Amino acid sequence: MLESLQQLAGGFGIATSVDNLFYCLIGAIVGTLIGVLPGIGPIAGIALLIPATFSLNPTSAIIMLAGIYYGAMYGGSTTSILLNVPGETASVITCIDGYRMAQKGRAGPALAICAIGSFIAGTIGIFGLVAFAPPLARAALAFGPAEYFSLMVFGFVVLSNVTGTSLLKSLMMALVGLIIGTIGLDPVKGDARFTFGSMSLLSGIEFVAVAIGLFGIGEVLANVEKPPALLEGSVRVPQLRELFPTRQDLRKSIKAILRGTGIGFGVGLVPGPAPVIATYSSYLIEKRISKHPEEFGQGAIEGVAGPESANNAACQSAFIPLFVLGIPFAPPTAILLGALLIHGVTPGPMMISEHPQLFWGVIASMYIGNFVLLLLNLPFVPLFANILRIPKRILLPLVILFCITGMYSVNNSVFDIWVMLLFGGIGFSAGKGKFEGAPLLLGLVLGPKMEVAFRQSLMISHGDFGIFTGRPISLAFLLATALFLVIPLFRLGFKRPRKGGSADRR
Amino acid sequence: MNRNDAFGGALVCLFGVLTVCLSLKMPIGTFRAAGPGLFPLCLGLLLVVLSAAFTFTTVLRLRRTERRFGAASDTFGSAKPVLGFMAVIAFAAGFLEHLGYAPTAFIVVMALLQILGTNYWRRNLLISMAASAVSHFLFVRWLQIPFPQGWIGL
Repeated sequence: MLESLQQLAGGFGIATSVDNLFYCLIGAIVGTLIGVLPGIGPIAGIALLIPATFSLNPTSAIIMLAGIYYGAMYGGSTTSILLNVPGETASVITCIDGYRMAQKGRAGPALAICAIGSFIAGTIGIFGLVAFAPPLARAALAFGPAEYFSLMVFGFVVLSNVTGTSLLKSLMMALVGLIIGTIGLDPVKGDARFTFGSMSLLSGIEFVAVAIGLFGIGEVLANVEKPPALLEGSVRVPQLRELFPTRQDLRKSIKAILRGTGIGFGVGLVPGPAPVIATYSSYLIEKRISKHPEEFGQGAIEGVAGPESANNAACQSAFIPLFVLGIPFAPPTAILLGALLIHGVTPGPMMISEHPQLFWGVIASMYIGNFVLLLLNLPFVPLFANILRIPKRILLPLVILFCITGMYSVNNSVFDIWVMLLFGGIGFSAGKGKFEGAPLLLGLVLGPKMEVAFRQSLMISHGDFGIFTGRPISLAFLLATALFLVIPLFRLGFKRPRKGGSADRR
Repeated sequence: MNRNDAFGGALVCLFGVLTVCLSLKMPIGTFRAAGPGLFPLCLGLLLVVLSAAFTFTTVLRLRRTERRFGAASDTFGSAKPVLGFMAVIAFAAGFLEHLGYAPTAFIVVMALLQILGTNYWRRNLLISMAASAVSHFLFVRWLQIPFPQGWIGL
């Protein structure tokens, strides 16, 4: 632990260099803007800005992209509170009490408590990262291909279990993603697969195109489909003097913030859309233990403080599996994995020893980023709120232009724009049937890794599948996977059929 | 649970069948020495099984519900602007290299503003020109991303 703290101190040295501070600031500001603007979430936002980091060194690049990630998470809460429109999924829960507070003229304290809660969660999260990441990296050294394969299977099943409306639908989408991930050169023998003679497909489907298509274009198309009257909303911009929470607000919030941080940090370590699960869990717990549960839904500040802190803590701890195992458990970290690979850094158990500057620099920058967000967001809330006044009918065309520009600049290839368009259509249509895009994206990113792990395991065992059950860690992951597959069946068995339909989650 | 679900499930099933067929054309090998077709074949088969089960149960439930409560109509929004947006993106993909970045950006924004029903020509023109100029300055001049220059060299 002491050694880790020393390394963290070194990380602060790296993160506070003028260049990195600048990129952290840019990341936090751009991220907040992305979070504030409906129609473009953190996934598409990070994917779009990867090309802008090509000229940077890997540490600065990841510092900026990580800043965009947690900045977007914070920005998302601004639209939830002021407009009742969540900027991204994790902010849905903030709408409930945050918007009610805004309606009562208390948008300022709600926004302020978001910033304060996020900062406290970020501060505690840093120490969690320092405490957990190095020992986990040492433990991960014992992982062979069989363990990695089982872990990835576990990740897919858990993600599918908690994403969307149906386990089957999410599993299907994950499989589609895995299959799309096999397009291009065979990672073991180098044979071309599913390329149909196209040179553009030899290097596989560009994951940035899929991410921007599914989450950027798909979201814009869903907005465009709405009647013009529903497209725009009204927003009341709070004044600076209205922003400060009262002492009673702070007293009510502090315990919720601490609980939210604990829940968020724990949830971020397991596969799935951690911020979404963390915010929901935190809200439910706050409501359950509150002496005044009837206030929830009517503008209870704990209903904002807990989930927002959980959101931020989950974002931070989600970096642990990414950096330490090299396996992202959620789409935003999957995009960050892609960015790391583009910059020539392969995350995994050796990352801490091979790229200590990057690892500790990024961790330290997260703390600085949270501080920047605290300083930035409170005084600039009126400014960000004013951005929400830009009519969507002007904003959406600009988002599309940004998507086309960003997409072309990844590989200077028009082919990628076609792929983006295709996946935009898929994302839009999938959304109609409530088929989630997140498992598909994760399947695409993890597909090649999973195939290599699968084939290496079978090569080692001479084709014997017992390798997956004969090794204790692998067996543990498979048993956990089986549990996650069986639980929904049990739930379905005990659920009384509802009149007029049945539960969709299967 | 609606017709969209059943249709989506059937489409995914079709995708799985296609994957299986194409995988079988590649060397499969053995589990000990897997060929390039083995992994996609396994994934394709699993997808076919899951999506077929999903589609089948969805259709069954749908029929049961429809028999009890009558057919429910699926709600669709306006398809026109969606198709318009997709056509404009396709235009950008097809003409970016011929027209160059700045003119394409201008046409894209202008067309999309028109599709969304903002019929103030002068305002749309101004927004499109500003968007195209700012993005040209930002991406081409400042970030020096090598965008195609097209016929007029912009």
